[in-house]
Amino acid sequence: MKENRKIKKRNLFRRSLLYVPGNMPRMLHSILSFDMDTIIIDLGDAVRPENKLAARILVRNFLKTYDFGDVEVFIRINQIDSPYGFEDLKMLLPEMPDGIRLPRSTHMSLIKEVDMYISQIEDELEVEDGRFSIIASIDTAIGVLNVQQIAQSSSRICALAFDAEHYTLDLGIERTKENESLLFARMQVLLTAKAMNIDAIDTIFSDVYDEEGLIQETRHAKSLGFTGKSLISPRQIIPVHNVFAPTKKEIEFAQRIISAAEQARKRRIGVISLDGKLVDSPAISRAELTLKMARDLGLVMENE
Amino acid sequence: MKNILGREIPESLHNFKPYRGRKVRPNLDQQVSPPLKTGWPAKNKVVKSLREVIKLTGLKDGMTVATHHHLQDRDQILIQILEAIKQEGIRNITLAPTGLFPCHRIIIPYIQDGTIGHIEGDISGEVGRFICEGNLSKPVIIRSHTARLFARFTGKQPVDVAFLAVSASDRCGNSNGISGANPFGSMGYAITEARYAKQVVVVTNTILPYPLQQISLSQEFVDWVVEVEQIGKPIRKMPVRIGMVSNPIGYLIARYAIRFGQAAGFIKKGFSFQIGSGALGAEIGRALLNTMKEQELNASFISGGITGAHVEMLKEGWTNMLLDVESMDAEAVESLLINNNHQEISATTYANPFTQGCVVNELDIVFLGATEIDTDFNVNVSTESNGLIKNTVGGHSDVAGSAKFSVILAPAFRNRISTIKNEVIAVNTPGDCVDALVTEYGICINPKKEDILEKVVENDPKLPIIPIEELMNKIQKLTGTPKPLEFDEKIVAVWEYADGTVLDVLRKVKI
Repeated sequence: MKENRKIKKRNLFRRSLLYVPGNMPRMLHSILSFDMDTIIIDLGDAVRPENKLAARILVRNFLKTYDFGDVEVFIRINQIDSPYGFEDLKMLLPEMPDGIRLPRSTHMSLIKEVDMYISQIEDELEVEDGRFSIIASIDTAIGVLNVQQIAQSSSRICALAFDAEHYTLDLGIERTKENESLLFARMQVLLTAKAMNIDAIDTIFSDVYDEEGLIQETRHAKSLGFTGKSLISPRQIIPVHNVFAPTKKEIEFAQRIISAAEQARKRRIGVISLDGKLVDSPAISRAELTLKMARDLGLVMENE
Repeated sequence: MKNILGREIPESLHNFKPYRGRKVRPNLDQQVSPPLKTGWPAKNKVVKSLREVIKLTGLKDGMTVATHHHLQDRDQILIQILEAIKQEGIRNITLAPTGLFPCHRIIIPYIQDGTIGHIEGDISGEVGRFICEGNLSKPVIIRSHTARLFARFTGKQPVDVAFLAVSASDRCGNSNGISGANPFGSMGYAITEARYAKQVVVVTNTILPYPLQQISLSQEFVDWVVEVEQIGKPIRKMPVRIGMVSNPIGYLIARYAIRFGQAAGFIKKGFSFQIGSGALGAEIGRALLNTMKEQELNASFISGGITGAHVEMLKEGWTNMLLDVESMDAEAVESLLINNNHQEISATTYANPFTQGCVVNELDIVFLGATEIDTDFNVNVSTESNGLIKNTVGGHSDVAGSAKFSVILAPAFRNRISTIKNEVIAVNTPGDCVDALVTEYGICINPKKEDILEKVVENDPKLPIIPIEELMNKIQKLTGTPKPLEFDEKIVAVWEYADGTVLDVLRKVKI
């Protein structure tokens, strides 16, 4: 189990990024029953200072014990300028999570520092460079302004995640369900992610029981261009997956790409084209994933 | 001697027969008749106090006193009865309650002082623990609802005096559970209890003019009527609003269970179902209502313990009928009073297989809980992992054994202990009555239901179906294998199946 973990997982959808507190054994051991794309184990706000070390030990054992299959696991570490941030990295990266979610991503210099530290650990662990990814949380005014530099500061950054809870706190404003005050920041994060060709993850929706509200907010996020959402309850997974489900058109297109690839393979043709356009291997992977997602949601039959 | 479940039933328990299988087979062809009485000329049945009625019934040392549990954990009658018995100087009675709940911890002193010598009835809470610590000389006999009936009409456990709580009665003993100051709903178990006891005393805090409107229990069975100040605490509102449940694992299990029930063909238009009590019961109720709404699946009836969630289904037209043997909350009580499609049924109509047919035989699917289950699908609902009795068994095995499809819902772990084990501490419901287990880690189908397995795999190939041994290993890989408990020789409890055969015994845990 350990050996294959040394290899980086690739090309996963990140529709649902579910937070789980790092100090709750009961929640940790049940988390794998759910079908989120990414688990984010929270060592930050969820854990009181006196429990930080205990939580780290718990999470270390959790990573050692469980087989995660296709699910990605990220550690939401403490702020890097707190006494806990680097300790989190040092203790938990050897257990081969897929990466970290970095709160308070405010400056390029800070990310570079984290990046270098992770590279050092990668050398010690003898894993490929860039094995560990970073999801950068954009959660402050300065972070929103610097987001372009932040996104460019490390090739580890696989996604930008907007965090409205901390952002509104930083601005000293209330978060409302209408989210008007968030529009600029959200768009800034989104555009940067798109320009850098990395994932754009929308903020959490904090009312666990308001499924209708969650669906509306997720639809809105999808319409802006977000590809995933951070979640605080397993209940939110299915509604969010349904919103991010591929459309009929996307499914058909993916099916055509796969069948074109299939034919090219049969005829031993190296270059694949569809409608006169070149189909490269990332496009094929993406098409495969679109179809996998469609099959998971029962939108197409198993053999299609 | 071992029964067919492989459980050791000691020869020292004479008069007990080992469990032989799901199909009930009585060893006699004639019921024992209730005693012949004459109610003419009419006598005055109303008695002022419990002590007086005890004198009138002629209750003596060593006799059997039955009580019933429709007031559940709010009951205040049992303690008054025991105190009166004690004051009359009567000792060593056999107490036969349909159920003892956590509130009944106050009866422990009456066990210690010898007023109660033996218990034959369903137990839970602190009394359960107290008994498991070996504080009674004879083991408690725990019977499912049907086993209790069986013990009555076969004369196995004759009852000298039955004290039945009713919320209102008239002077002749016509009574119900829906009128008066303290309504509690259906009197399902009391109605049946009254038919077999030598003497029947109804206990109430409300005596209404003759004849009572809405009669559940007829005067023909009632010997005495006693008025007391308090029968119990008021019934509570539905504790969790439907749709406001907060346990994501329970939600996941409920969703699996419903998909499974649909794939197996038991959840469909016009189906009937029953849901056991407990936290998972609330989850499955909510999820089932959602499914019924989304797919426009109406049920024909819901039976058993009725809750506000079921009432909501009835009101909105998602079920045609509620067949109520026990009302679980204030919403159910109110509905029973005002809605003609919410019907009170007796315990014998509900689940007595020794009749021309009972309600549970008509059930398509039933969802029940478990504290432990073994790889033969034997279920323990009563003891915790420490070997002490915590919960009543109710009608678990009756319903599981009779319904067309019985599904156990349980989390894969409880406090880091695997729910699935090689061997459960006590078998309360035998594995041949159980069709499947649904956990958040996967669904296990009893190998005897091979046809179901094929059907489910064909209809919903994405359901995580897994053999039960494999699931147990998967879970125990994470939790470790629990060390088996060690027991003393002393037997503290015996569980009986519907036909009076012995499912299992529990010994005192070594401390």
